Amino acid sequence: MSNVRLLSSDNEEFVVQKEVAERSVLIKNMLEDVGETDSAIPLPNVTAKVLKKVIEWCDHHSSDPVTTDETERRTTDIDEWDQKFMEVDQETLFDIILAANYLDIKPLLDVGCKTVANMIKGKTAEEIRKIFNIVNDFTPEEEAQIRKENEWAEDR
Amino acid sequence: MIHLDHLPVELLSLIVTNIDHKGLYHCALVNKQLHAATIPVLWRSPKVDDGSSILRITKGLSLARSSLGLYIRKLCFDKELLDSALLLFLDHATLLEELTILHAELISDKSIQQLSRRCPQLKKLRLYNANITHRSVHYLGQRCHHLRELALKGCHRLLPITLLPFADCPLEYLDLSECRWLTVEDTALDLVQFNRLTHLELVCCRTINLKFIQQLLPPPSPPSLDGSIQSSLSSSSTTTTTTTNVNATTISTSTPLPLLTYFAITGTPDINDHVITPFIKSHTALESLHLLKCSITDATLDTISTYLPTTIHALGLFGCENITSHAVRKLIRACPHLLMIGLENCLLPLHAFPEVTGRDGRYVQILGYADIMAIRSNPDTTTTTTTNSTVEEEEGIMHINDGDNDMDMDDDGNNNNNNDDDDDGNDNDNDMNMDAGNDDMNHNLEQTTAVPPQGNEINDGMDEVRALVLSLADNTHYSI
Repeated sequence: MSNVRLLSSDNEEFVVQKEVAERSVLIKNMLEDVGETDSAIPLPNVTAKVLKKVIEWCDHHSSDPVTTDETERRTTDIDEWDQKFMEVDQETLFDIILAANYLDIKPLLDVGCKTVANMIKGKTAEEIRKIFNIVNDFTPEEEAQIRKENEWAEDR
Repeated sequence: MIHLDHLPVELLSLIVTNIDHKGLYHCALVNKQLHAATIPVLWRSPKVDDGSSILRITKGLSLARSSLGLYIRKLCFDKELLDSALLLFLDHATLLEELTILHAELISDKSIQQLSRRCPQLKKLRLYNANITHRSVHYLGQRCHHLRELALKGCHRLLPITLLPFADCPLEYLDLSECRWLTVEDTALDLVQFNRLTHLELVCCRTINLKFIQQLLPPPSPPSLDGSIQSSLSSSSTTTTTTTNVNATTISTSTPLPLLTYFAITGTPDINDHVITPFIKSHTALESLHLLKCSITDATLDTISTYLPTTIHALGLFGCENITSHAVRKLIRACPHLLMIGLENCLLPLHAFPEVTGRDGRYVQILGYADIMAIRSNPDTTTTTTTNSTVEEEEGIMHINDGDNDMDMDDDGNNNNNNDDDDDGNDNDNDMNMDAGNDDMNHNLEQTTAVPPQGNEINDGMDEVRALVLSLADNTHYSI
């Protein structure tokens, strides 16, 4: 089993099994393009802290079958290990989502998005603003218009 | 520190696709960034489950400052709907791709003609029991060139040439169940032109007969029963004369509907092994096969084992009374991906499947995943001894059908003959065997027609069959 070296944006190097690193479609494609290489793959968009988490996830899921079925991926619930894995502060959570998007690791992106969605579900707009520290930038008129247009969904 | 609303809109959209409509409503009110990500998702498939929600949604559409209707891709009405209500949506939803109306009894040409004009992007259309005429399908075929799925279940007013206008649509999914207007001369002729078709459902159509199925066989289409035997022989035999070999090669390249993975019919007594066998041999992509009320015997089950061993996932044999439990068990072992078999009204005794637990009644109904796994893992107590014992058991129980024991024997004989065909392909021999098979079939036919209603003329059984096929289809999706 050959290894791959990954270099984070803050210049920390990680040595990872090829199979684990290839959960990332971006890295997989890079390796295919370059072929056998000894030099580290630079990942300028991912910090060491986040890369460490992402590698941990890829390592745990290295033998998962690749699901191409969109609907199946979307409807599957988050498993217990992933739930634990995602128990992190909001900033790390968003960083993982951004990294999964950049590295093209769809299943991890899904888990991240579902985790955030679970934090939003069942909350009112005001509660969502509070949880995520978001400022309301609507005028009262704009807000009233949105309520009118989408009134059908309010109690659905 | 990064905030939720700093994520790019495409990632926010991905997040909110996991949220229900009510949750999306609140998301849209959080701030402008979330509003931009949420509104297209919220309006993609508005939930229209009753009259009041229809009114509220159309009110929202007409109040909106931007064209919210352009976000609508999918509409599913599960309650009765009026032309006028559908028209309200069609005014706005011009990028609609998917329309389902499960109770379309009050839907007429008035709204469907408008649908074809307003929604040229339509890809999937399901209208159940709609009151539409050929006028509607004419315009749909002319204007909606992207139609991939078409379900016109129970649309009684349509004509045999209903499929003709769709000749240039890339149809992959077709459901004409409960349509009583299908003919061999027109409908079957147009049907075989859809060479991308993967899903074909013709349940409770009443007119699906031997001739209809023959249209789905590789040409030259056999004009008679004898012809169909010939074609089945020529496609199966490996060492025959050069002429039949030529036939065999042309057959493989011009099979109608070669991509079929799902096929469901309610048959008539004249649909038997001789037509189903070549159909299976020429459609080896089949994953889900439902042959309801057909006169097939164990020979068809053997063909499935031989030609679809790894593809077949679900099998529906409702009302196929000429199959034996021994052959079913053999099939289960031969097809490792089989997840379920519907055996309702097949009159197979429950005790022939000792692995099946927790069921009542005399006959086996559906064998589900757990049953099939149990049968598969249970090492069969050698074929020869079980055959005898099963036959005896069945004889004991199945006094309804006196000829049953005979049939078992004949079936076994048939299987042997088939093997012979494959091996040496001696024509005389085959003819002899087939004649014997024919007699056998006629015998069976008489029996099945003699056996009480079960209903080609009677409507009662139809809904039951239909529900069954649906449940089978659902279950397959679920288990896979």
